[in-house]
Amino acid sequence: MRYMKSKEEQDQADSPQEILKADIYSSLEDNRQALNVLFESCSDIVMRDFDFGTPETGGLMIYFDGLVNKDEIEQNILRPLLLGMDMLDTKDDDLLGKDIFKEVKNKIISPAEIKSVKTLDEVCHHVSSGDTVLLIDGYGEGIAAGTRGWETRSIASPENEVVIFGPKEGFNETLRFNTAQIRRRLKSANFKIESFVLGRITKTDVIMCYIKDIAPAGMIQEIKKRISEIDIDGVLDTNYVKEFIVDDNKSLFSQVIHTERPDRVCGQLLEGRICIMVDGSPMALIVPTTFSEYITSPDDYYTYFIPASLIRILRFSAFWISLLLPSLYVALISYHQEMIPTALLLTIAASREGVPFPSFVEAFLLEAMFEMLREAGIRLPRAVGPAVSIVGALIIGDAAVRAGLVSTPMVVVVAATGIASFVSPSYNASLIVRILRFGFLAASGMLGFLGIMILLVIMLIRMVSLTSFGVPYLAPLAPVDLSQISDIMVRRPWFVNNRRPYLEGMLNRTRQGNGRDDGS
Amino acid sequence: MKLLRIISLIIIIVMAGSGCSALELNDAAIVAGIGMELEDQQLRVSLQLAQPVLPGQSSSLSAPPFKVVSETGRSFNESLKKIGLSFPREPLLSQANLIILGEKLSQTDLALVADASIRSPNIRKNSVIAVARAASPEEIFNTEVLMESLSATAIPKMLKNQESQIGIYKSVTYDEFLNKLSTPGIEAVAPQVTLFNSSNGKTIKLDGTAVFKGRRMVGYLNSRESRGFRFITPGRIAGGIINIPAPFDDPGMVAIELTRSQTIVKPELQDGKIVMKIEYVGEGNYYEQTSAADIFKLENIPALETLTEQAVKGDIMACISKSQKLGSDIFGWGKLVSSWDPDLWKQAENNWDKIFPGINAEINVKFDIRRSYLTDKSLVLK
Repeated sequence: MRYMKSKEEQDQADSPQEILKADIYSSLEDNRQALNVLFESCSDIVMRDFDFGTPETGGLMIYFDGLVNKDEIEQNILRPLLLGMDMLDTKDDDLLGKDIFKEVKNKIISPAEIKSVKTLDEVCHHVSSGDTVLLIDGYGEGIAAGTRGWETRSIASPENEVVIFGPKEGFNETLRFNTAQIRRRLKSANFKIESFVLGRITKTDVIMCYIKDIAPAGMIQEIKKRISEIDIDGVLDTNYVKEFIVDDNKSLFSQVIHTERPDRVCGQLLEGRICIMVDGSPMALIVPTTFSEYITSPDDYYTYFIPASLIRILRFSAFWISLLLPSLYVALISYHQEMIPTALLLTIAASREGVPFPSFVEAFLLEAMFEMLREAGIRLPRAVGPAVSIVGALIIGDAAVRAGLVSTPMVVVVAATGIASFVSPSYNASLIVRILRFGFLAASGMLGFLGIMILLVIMLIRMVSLTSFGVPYLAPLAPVDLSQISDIMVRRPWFVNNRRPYLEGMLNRTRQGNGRDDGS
Repeated sequence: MKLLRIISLIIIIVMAGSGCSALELNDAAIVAGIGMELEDQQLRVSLQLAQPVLPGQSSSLSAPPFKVVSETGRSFNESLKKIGLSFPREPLLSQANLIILGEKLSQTDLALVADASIRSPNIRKNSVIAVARAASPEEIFNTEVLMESLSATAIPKMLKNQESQIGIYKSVTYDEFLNKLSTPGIEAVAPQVTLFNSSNGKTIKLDGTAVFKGRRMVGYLNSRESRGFRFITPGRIAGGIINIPAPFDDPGMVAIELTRSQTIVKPELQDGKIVMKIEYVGEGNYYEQTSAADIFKLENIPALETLTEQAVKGDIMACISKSQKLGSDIFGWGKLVSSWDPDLWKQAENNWDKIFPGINAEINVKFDIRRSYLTDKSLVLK
């Protein structure tokens, strides 16, 4: 560091760091020189010189090619300055003696968003964000005009959170479009969006949005504090922010909800939660979150409550199956054979006859193979996907059994576990379950049911001691909140859903009516 | 990190500790039934091992799907472990659903095996118990059963089915059996299994109920007495056929199906003597008649009910007289007396053997015929 500094000092006159600190010079020529140094080797920068008005005044327009809507620059900046002034101002010497800068900014150019900038650093930031900066000779100030316009992915339905009923829109990579999607659903001035700029180099826009009067003020302050403490060179996805701001950043359990669905964000905001989004990423973070993320899906709330509740119970059983089935099976067949009915045990014993590995190793191999197949399926080009799944199914399902490497019931168990793990509505949650499953498998291989119980207890201890932004992770199961517990196991019908789930410091819990809850 | 250290310490301690070790199915043999018999003053333990069969593989062509291994030793566990000298796998005793006691062992002394088998965590206490009659447990295990691959799984099924169908024997679990052996005031019984020659070759059959007195088997109940024993046992029973002679000088029989019944037994003191009051209330359906007469009429039902009551009462009395003859209190009357009047029991306990054969029983049977399988008239053949 010291060496770097001394080197910087040597050629301080021209160094970009020094230039960035400077204000905009009043001479256009100085500005041009400074900007040339700043944007040296940036081949996509466009600096356009022009003269306008009478008397002729020099102007410089700077923007990055590809980030701007060129039509808008031509129509709203260049045309009014070059042609419009001449046509409209019939009188000569119109600008003479007037504040040209103010005149141009307020009367002539016509982009909707306009801001004056003072320092070269600001110029740099605006230009990099897709704005066009206009510098006028003789003024130590510039005009940043909002001309952002780049090619984006169109709004598509989110691939990872598919629902049958309900909205199909998903976020895309442009932050403004995403906030617009939320704003369209929450037509209230109480829906607040606070923005931050994170990343020393990326200068990424990060926003935090919430509904004022519902979201707890203390939590908003705390999140603001945690976000503004982040100091990193770049923020490319919401996960960068997540890892900095969660309560226990070494915990396995996910303490935020990742979602691509604006409707889900709105639903959570209405429950007093807070959403964080990052420009360039379609994933929104919702905090605080609880265990319920593992079993709830947004379309629970878009389906009639009876089938939705049954499906939620199904998901809950699938959660346990995908967590415990292989380990229970291994524990049963290698420790607790007395718990298997004789007829079933005879079949299992017959298919295990000749299998060279202990059942734990057998289960571990198959599970690992399945995870590899699953991971391969994500990365594979579409064209080879089916080929791999056929090969995988053949290798694991048939050839391995025929070769006597694994037993048929084990294949059934691993396949059932796989299916159960796909039931999980959240990819994040299913990832955690997949990791824990191997832990449980090892525990059951070592100690049978005792091992499973020990690990379950440890898992539960970890889960009850975890908080997400002050909210207990297992709420409302532990600590018990009787009024909300019914909305975990089943989907409570909307007509009795009178109160919002409790968050510490929440101002308004009434959803409808007088807010009295039937359950409490 | 501290938590992690503690967890790894726990895991190491638990793993180092003994008691729990994995047993792969490839190294185990599934035991379907355990047999114990006395042979030349030594215990002979026989295990019926089920041979794993893959579904879809036909087993009928090859050898029978079981093997029987036996070994003789001075104690139950010695015999059991000696099997390992000639057999490469560990027997999974915990799968055994049937325990067969040999006739000679039962008649000699059950103390030879009772402790070992109740102490072992691997012997299922809810397995069914049977006593072999005129055959050794080994022979019974070696006998093939129709429609079922193992005699050890067939016998519990047979016991269960006959209870709801014909209703003669009561299935007894090992737990109940050992409990009765060790409880004063009640003696143990167990259904008997024997071999007989049928048209399908040698096969097994349920035949009689073994009656124990103390640690020894003293005799057995025949099928009528076994039926009576089932009726007299306090509690509810269901299922079984009661055959009664057709009323009104008809040569045929009428069968009544027992749908539910309840027996309450209460001791009472009459003139300084203990009298057992047995209240039997039963319900049944008119099931069949073997004659052509129009028996099933409303006015005949009281007569049918009376005949059924007499039949039930006769079975109960046969059972009581047999058990009094054998001097074995299989009904647990002593236990009933002890909970009814502990002081009286204290006096009677020591010569209960003498008191029991002289106890009078007052038997009240009430039987109702409820339904007739939707055919409300007899099929009158003309």
